[in-house]
Parts: sequence; structure tokens; C-alpha cells
Amino acid sequence: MRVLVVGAIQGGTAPLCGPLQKAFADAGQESDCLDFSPHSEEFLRLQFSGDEERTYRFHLDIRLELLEKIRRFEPELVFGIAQSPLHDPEILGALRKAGIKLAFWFVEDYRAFDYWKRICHLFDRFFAIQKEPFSRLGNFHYLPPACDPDSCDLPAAERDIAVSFVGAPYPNRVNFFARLNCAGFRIFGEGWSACGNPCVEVGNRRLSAREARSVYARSRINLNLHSETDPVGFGGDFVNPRTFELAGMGAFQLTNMRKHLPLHFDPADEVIALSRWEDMKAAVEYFLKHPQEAEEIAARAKARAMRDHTLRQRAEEVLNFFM
Amino acid sequence: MGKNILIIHFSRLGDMIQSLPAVKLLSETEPRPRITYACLEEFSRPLRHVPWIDELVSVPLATVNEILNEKGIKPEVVERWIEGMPPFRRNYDLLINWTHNQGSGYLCSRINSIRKEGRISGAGNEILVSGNWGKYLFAAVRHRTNNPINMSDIYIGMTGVKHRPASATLPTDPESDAACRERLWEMGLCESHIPIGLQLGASSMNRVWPVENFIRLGEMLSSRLNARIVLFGSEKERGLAEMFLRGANFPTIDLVGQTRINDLPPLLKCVRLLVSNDTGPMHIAAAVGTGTVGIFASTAYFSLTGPYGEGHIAVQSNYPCAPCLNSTRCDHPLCAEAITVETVWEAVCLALGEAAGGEKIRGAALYRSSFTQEGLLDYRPVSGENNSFAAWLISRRDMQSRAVHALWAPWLGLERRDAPVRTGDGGTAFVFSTLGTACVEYLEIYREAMDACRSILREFRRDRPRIEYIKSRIELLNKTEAKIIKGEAPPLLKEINEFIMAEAAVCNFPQLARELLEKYAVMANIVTRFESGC
Repeated sequence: MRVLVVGAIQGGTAPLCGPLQKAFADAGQESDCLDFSPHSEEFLRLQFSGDEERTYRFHLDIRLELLEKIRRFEPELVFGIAQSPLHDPEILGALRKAGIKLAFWFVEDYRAFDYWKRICHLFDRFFAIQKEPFSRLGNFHYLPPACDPDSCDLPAAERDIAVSFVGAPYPNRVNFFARLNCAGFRIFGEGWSACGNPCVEVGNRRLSAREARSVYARSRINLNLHSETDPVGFGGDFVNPRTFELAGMGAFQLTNMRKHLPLHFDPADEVIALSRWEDMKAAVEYFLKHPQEAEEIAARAKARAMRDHTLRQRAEEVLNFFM
Repeated sequence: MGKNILIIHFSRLGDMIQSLPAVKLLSETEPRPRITYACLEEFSRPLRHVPWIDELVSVPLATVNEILNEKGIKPEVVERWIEGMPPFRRNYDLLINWTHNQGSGYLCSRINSIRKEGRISGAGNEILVSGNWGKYLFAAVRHRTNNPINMSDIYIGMTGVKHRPASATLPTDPESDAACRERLWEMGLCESHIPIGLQLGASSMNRVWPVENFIRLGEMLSSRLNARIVLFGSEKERGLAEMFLRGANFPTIDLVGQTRINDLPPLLKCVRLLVSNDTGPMHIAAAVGTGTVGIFASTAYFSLTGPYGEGHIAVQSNYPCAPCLNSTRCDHPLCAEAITVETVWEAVCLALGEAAGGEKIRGAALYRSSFTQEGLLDYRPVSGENNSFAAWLISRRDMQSRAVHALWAPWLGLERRDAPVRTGDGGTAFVFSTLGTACVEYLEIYREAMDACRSILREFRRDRPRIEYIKSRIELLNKTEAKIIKGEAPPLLKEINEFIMAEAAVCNFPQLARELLEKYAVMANIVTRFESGC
């Protein structure tokens, strides 16, 4: 099957484009990808510029680039990743008429991004990392994130960061991390500079995927506190991509308990998932003193990720619907 | 003449049974009170022969759902319903509401009583919780791992009766006892067997220990102890029973779906021990004097809902995420699965007083119940895993809950001699010092707030109060409340603060300032007593 992967212009899912294309290829398909991430700077510049003409032109160019790629590659399946510009009903309708199958992977929290409502019905299959509210859709399938074994395979790094967090300053993270009195805690991510937390190491920009992986590999404990708009919220449903990436790298993580987590990892044996912030704080204290136990847990997570949670396995799951 | 007391408890079977020690102790006060107990009709039958309940008012669940609906109380509908319910039109000396929903709070606000405890709606239908023990109950539900006080003892506290052990809290009539014994004999029980009951199901599948594990446990009980297994459960648990019977290669007496709820107490009295998930039958077994091994996973936590009485064994999952909160409840709990058969076997040996099998405890910690000197139920750890984060976390929670007991005991009118002292091992000292630091921080906040309240009151005593100044003090109080909510408070403190706040009438500023001053003084007193006592 000829599969075209359409990547995001910007955001956390942008680095997924190439690895996912390779995953389809590894699954025995002829695949190609259209990576829009080189346009991200222009996109962000225009977003707040108020320059309607240039913005219109930008989006027109994006569409033309998409159509040109489809014309040349002649895919049988177009697979869009969250934040990709695959949302024009007219284009999608025309592709469908031409007999091209359409799929979309919504690797987002539906509470934070609601554009799924406008596009979900335009695809043959709509994949998401949450079960609700999508279970009512006839074309929905739950597809959790996964790890890319190639980028997980880093040379062993010295664990010279005690505790780290990489990600955006959502209200729950700002609130809880302000209360983590831990020497050696370091925060990396765009927007943290304004939060007044003395542990911020890089707070004015988003770390590249490569930089983030380096921090994960160097950390004895990775805090993986899922995003939440409620400052005291600690639970939730979906399991974020970081969980799979950290596991795939064999990096030890503490995470907040998620409704879907036990479907993918054992919350006591492969990752440590907690139901309360006070327990997460206690866990930091414990694992700093017990690094060997942390390493053993991380090794089990890696084995599980490589066994059950690679992008290739997700690609195969997607292909089951179309072959 | 004794007091006239009304208890409202529109809750599940287990909750009702857990309230019986309180009802019994209340009935033993002099002069003997007259107790009216309102409960759900579906679970009322076992209470019909309880001698310390003078009048049982049973209301169908459908009626409770319709009339006292959480989402929308219609006052005229409730009024009409009360008209047809004479027990709710009487005057009482004490009204206790143990129900957790808002509708029951509204009902209680419409009933005349000199004193009211528990959830009672205010004039604007806002949720109020009356009495220190009532506030503690509703706060503890959200802090299960920090609470060492059993639900039955919290109920006793709400009655105002002094704590002491209560036994045989659910009497059965001798005729039913004989009939049930005969029934079990007809089904294959005999003198040479130890009758051991298994309760396979639970109200939520998340709390269910796997049926395959029950089968293996049954095999061990049957072969090693010559036990005769008796299966208990409702018709809804028929599927689990079928699975059990298919897998079991030992004789089993199957009562699943074949037992009326009023036969359950005498039948459970016939078994020597019940191994059960956290369920109503587990509490019934304990209430009729049968030993229990309770398995606690998912949202269940032994310290709050462990069976009442001496010698029960709680098998508590030691998964780091357990007990889960509603917001962290998962799709596929592994915590129950991870509790090994060998662990429950050890628990059974402990409960029966048999020599323990020396099996390795995995996936759980074991606790045994006894009574403290002051008459409270106490689950003490007996064994668990070593050398793992799971084991460390659960023992830390035990320490934490005892430290929290020291914080709340004076406020609840309890001694705190059972709490550990600060000079214990390193872990205990750390837990106490963390709690102490939080207390000091909050004391500072309360003092600031009290100063602001005093300033407001002083200002209102002036001939011409300065409105701008008062506004600035009120702004300060708003900030204080925000600090209380956002800060890392000692467990339960925020909830208790909220419950007291809800009582403050926002009728006029001096009145509000007086009420807030009183509230902050109470809160400051709680944290000060902890600090000075440690």
C-alpha cells in the first residue's frame, strides 16, 4: 500500500512525521511523508501579524504543496498527524472521490484542542489517544502514542541531572512544581521564565526533540506530570507521548496516574504512577536514594515499550483497517 | 425520658452495617433514647431485628433518587413527600445524617431537631456539614490514606457517645440461625469441615480480586485446612460463581443468587471466616461476629472501611497509585491482580490463628484490627513486602496517618496517646517535621487573617468607618482564602476550612468578620496544638 504521512506545521507532534513514515515502510508499505515543520517559523510569525494577505497566501501554498505531493506520490492512504494542515473539507472530499483512503491521528487532549469536531467526520478512520468523547463516532479507533526505537537508541549518558521536567507550564505543573523542594530539580520548556520558579533551566524556548531526549537520558528521575488546566488536578485519561518516549529510552519516570495507563504499562513495575502529588514528592525523595531500583524499573519499561509500543506496531494497527 | 433521635442513612448496605456500632452505643446511653433509623428499603431487611432501632423507616431507592435528586431538588415535591411521612414530621432532639448526597441534606433542613449532625443544607440550599466529626467524615473521604480512623468510629463520634468497642452489632434471631445451619448441612457441610465463605464480587468490578485467584485459594483452603468453601453473592455475581465452579475441583456450597438479604446475616454467622472484597457482606460478617479477610484494591482503603471488630485482617494493595481517587481510577486495574494467592493465604492463616505458611507477601500489606486504649478500632501492620518503593510508600502512609491523627485528635476530643512520637525512627521524624512545617506556615496565614478580621471589627466600632480601609482588609481576607486553597496544607485542613467557611453567613461585614475570626481561631488552634504536642 502506498501511504503518505502528512506532518504537523508546528507543535509537539511535528517530529513524528519522519519516524512514522519509516514505521509504515518497516511494516512493508511504500511510504512517503510531507513534513511541514520547516514552515513553523513563518506560521508562528504570521499567526499574530494581522497580515491577512500573507496569511492567506501562506495557507494557499501549504495546500498546493499538499496537492502537488499527492499528485506525484499517488498514495492509497493519506495519514494525517495532529496539527497537520489536513483539514480542508473540499480537498479531503476530492481525495476521497479519487478513491484515496483518509486517516487522522489526533495525538491531542480533546479538552485543549477542539478542532477535532470540525474534521473527525471527514476521515475514513479517526484515531485518538483518548476513548471519550470519541467512542460515539463510527470511524473512531483508540490508538495510543508510541516510541520511535531509532531515536530512543541513544548512547548511555551520565545521569548528571537529579530530577527534571521538560514541557509547557500548564497550571497544574506551575502549581505543583512550585512546591517541590528538591535540590537538583531542573525545568526546561517554553513559557517557564514567567513563572518565577528558581528551578527553571531553560524557560524561554521549546527544547528540540533531540535536546529533550538528552535531558531525559541524563536525568535520574523524569517527572512526567501530564498537562491539566486545573491547578490542583492530578488525574486524567490519556497517556501522553512522553510516557512512551521515556519508556523506550529506558529513562526512569514518575507520572500521575492515568485512566488508560495500565493498558500499556504496569503502574508499579514499569513506570511509577501516583494518585496524589504528596506521593509523587515522596517518590522523588525515595528514588533519589534508590537509583538502582529506578534503573531496574526503567529497564522493564524499555523492554515493554520495545515489545508492545513502537511506532511500527501502531502503523500495523492502522493498516489493519485498510488492507 | 430518653432523647428522640432520628438517623438518616440512605446509603449502600456496607455503609449501613458500619453505622450499627454507633447505633448500638447510642442506644446504651442513659436514659435510653428512642431511635428512628431511615434507610433504603432494598437494604433494610437485615436491620428489622436490630433491637436498638426502635423504628425503621425504609424508603425505596427509586423514591430517594426521584425526590432527593442531586441535580435538582424541587422543594414543593419534597414538602408533599414529607407530608406523607409521619417520622419526618416529628420533633427530634438529635438528627444525624450519614448520607453523602445533597438531597438528604435538604431533607434534613426540613426536619425539626434541636441538634443536627452531618450533612444539612443551609437556607440557600448550600452544603453545610454540622459538627466536628461530620466535617472530619466528609474531609476524610478525600484523604483516605491520611486517615487512620475507621468509618464506624467516625459514626460513633458523630453521635457524641464516648468511643468503646461494640460487638455483635447485628443480632440474628435463633430460628433463622437454626434454619440456615440446617440448610448448609443439607448442602454438604459437616462437623469435620471448617466452613469458609468466599465473596467473589463487589459493587465495582475494579475492586474484584480475580476469580482464578479465589479458585486457587479455595484449593489451598480445601486441601490444607480441610475447609468447605461456601460461595456468597447476589444474582448479579452469578457469572463469577459459574467461573469459580468451572475451575474448582473441590466441593463447594454455592449460595450465589440463592440467598435473600435477610438470610445473609445468619448464613454468614455459620462460617468461620469470610474472604471478601470490600463489600456489604464483609461488613455483615464482621457485625455478626464472623472473622473476615478483606481484600482492598482500587478505590477501597482498609483504614476507612475495614471491617469493625477485633482480629480482622485487611489485605491492602500496595500499588503506588492505590487507593485511586475518582479522577485517577483506571480502565484496567492491575492492583487487585497483583495481590498474590499466597498473600491472601497468609492473611487467612493469621485470621484463623493458624501457623502462617511463611509464604512471600506480594502486592499487598497485611493489617490486623484491634482496639486502642481509648476504644477506637486500629489496623496495625503485621507483614508486608520489604525493600521496594511500594513497601516504603505504604509504611510511610501508615506513619503519615498516625501523624495526622495527632493533628486532628484534640479537635475531635480524642486522646492522642496512640500516635507515634516525633523521636521515632528517621522516617517518622521526617513525616512529623513535614507536617509540623506545614502547620507553622498555616498558623502564619491564620494569624494574618485574624488580624485582618480584628481590624474590620475595630473599624466598625468607629463613628465613621473608613469604607476603603475595610475594603482593603476584605481584599486581604480574599487573598488569605486563596493562599489556603493553593498552599500545601496539612491533610484535611483545607476541607475543614471550607466546611467552616460555608457556615459563615455573609449578611453583613462585622458579622462576617466575627465569624471568620472565629473560624481562623479554630484552625489556628488545631495547628498550634499539634505543634505544641509534638
